Amino acid sequence: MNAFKELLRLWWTQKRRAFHWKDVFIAAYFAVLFITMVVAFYMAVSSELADKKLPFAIVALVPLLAVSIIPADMLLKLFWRRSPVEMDDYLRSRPVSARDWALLVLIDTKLSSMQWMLPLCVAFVAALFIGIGWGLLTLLLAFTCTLTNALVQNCWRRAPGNEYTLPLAFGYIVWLMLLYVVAVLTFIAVGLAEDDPSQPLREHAVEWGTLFLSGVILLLNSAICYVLHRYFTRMKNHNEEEHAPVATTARSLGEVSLWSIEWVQLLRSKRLRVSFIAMAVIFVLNVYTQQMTADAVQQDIGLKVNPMLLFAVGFPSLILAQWVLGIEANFFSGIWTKPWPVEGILRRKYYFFCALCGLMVLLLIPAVLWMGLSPLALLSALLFSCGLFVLPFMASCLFSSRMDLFASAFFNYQGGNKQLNIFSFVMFIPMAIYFGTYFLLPALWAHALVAALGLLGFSFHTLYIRWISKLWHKRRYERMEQWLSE
Amino acid sequence: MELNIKNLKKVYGEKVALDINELNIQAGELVGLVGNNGAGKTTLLRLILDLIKANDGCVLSADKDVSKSDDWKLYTGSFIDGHFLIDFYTPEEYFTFIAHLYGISDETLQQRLETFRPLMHDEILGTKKYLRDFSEGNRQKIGIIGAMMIRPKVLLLDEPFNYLDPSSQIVVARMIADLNHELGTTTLISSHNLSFVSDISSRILLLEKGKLIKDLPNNEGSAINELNEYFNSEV
Repeated sequence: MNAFKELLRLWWTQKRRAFHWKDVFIAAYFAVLFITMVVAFYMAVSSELADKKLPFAIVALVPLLAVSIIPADMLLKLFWRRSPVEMDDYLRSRPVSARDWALLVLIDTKLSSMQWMLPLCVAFVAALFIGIGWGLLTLLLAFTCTLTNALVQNCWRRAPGNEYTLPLAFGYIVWLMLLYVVAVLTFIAVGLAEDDPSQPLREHAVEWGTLFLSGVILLLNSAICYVLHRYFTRMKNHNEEEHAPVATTARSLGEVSLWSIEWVQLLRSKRLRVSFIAMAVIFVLNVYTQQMTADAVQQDIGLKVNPMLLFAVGFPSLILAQWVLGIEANFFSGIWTKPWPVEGILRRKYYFFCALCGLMVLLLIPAVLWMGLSPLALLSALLFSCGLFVLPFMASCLFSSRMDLFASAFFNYQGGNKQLNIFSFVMFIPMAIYFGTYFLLPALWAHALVAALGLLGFSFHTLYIRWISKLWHKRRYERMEQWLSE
Repeated sequence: MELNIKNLKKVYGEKVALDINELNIQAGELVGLVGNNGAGKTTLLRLILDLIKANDGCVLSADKDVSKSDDWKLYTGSFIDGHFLIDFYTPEEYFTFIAHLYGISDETLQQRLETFRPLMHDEILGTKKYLRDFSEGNRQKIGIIGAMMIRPKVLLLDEPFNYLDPSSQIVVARMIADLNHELGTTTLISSHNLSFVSDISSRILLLEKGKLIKDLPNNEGSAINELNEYFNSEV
């Protein structure tokens, strides 16, 4: 018991010291945003809904709402959740039992904000549209679903081999199927039954039916959570040799130079590489799909350009440009003590981003050849991206934090910080100019103006980068000391 | 190249990490910097390399303030810690990159790397590994080689013997001494290893709580007794 108390104390100390009020404000900001959107939607549809009779009893949606978050929750956890499941060495070499550790992991899992995020969202929706009591029930149901997801992930990460992961995967699939069957059955059997005149129901039968089936889901989830917790506790610790870091074989990426470091860091840093490729694929595909209905879209909204074009050409570079010097921060002591001027680094980096914009243009050439995408629009987007979209972001070197080169990519906000988040709003200005131009002017004039603005921006890039570099030099100690301490 | 320190002070919060009124390191001197943990050795080296801001005073390298001029970067080789290494490069790429920065041709680079073979023990070149995948000892060696391969006029190394096996420590000590003798490199190395520092340095500086409390000439290891006496009295 003493060991468990000490573990709890350690856990609480760690949470207290990692707590930042600004994280609370950010969470509150997104919560307010979500609430505003949902309430606005509710106000928009509620009057319509009040006039019409729904073909089902809305109460029966409660279990379905709760289980509907499972896939999104699991995806979030797969990309984002890195809570510890193994004891650190300083605990492993102390008399801390596996049972105590497993209990601590369970408590940490239950109290993690990630477990509550999505349940609170769906509970709010349920409370607003169905009723507060049903909202609370939805919260409880959804929480047991997210907790089960988290415990499955804990077991998976701790599992030493296939003999543990295969039963886990099988059990997870069976659980999902059972859950969805019960949830869908609730909706169909209970929700639609009210509307069947051949089957008159007792008073409050829908509510009781929903409560009963929700209770079945709760019991099922609770039992699964108990089993998973026991499974986690009984799993033996990892064999250190199996999980020792494996050295990656380095492949040559051409001759080493002051230029090549830009693409080498992009290709060898998983975080950058995955972010860039993901953005490129998403937006290029969007251009192609939008181009299929280009004429209709342009008629509907009066925009004389494919709305995804600017994003496809400029956004992948912009994603990298938000972390200027974030990678170099890992070895900035080496940079600063060598004849390697920061202005030169920034300029080469900017040219590299422009080259990436050019690469995106190449990927869009088939759309020009076979799908009617205007070559002038493409060229204008390239010039605008280089001159006005990406260039301002070179100033992110004044704010960026150090980026872990080899951390995972998705939803990893290391390298960014709150100053950078605020600075990111800068990108809306060139976006507004771009789309405003294509909305207000005829297509040809818009191409010309957008291209001219891009060229104008590009013509000032040397001065701008020199100015940024001077600003950086004034703040260099603060930046370097921050990077050293991160 | 001479290094001059005048009224140099670095404060973190309420703690004075370094406070040196005056210190001159003549061109060609090989100076050892010793002291207990937290004495200010690394802080001094970071201030000389302009990596952190001094609260007061300045460091002059060849009579130029290092915080106002970048000329010192052309002739100074240094290695303090992993923040000097480019983790996504292989050792070959890292050395080639440094060579490009200093205008060293590939041929010259290969010749110079040959002289470091006794230190590398065939564990560094030709391994196709990124720097991040090397052990701490090998990363230390790579950092030291990166600092010395440019044949600098000023060499600054922070605890170069850390993580190294005994034979590598001897090799590194010999290489530092050879560089100093051949090129007249002004060298400042910090270390907890009193015997190595005493073997190769012509002068030893003892720091304690940010203050320079002893500046000992070290003719043929004469300072070691005084240092041992000092550290024994600290226990």
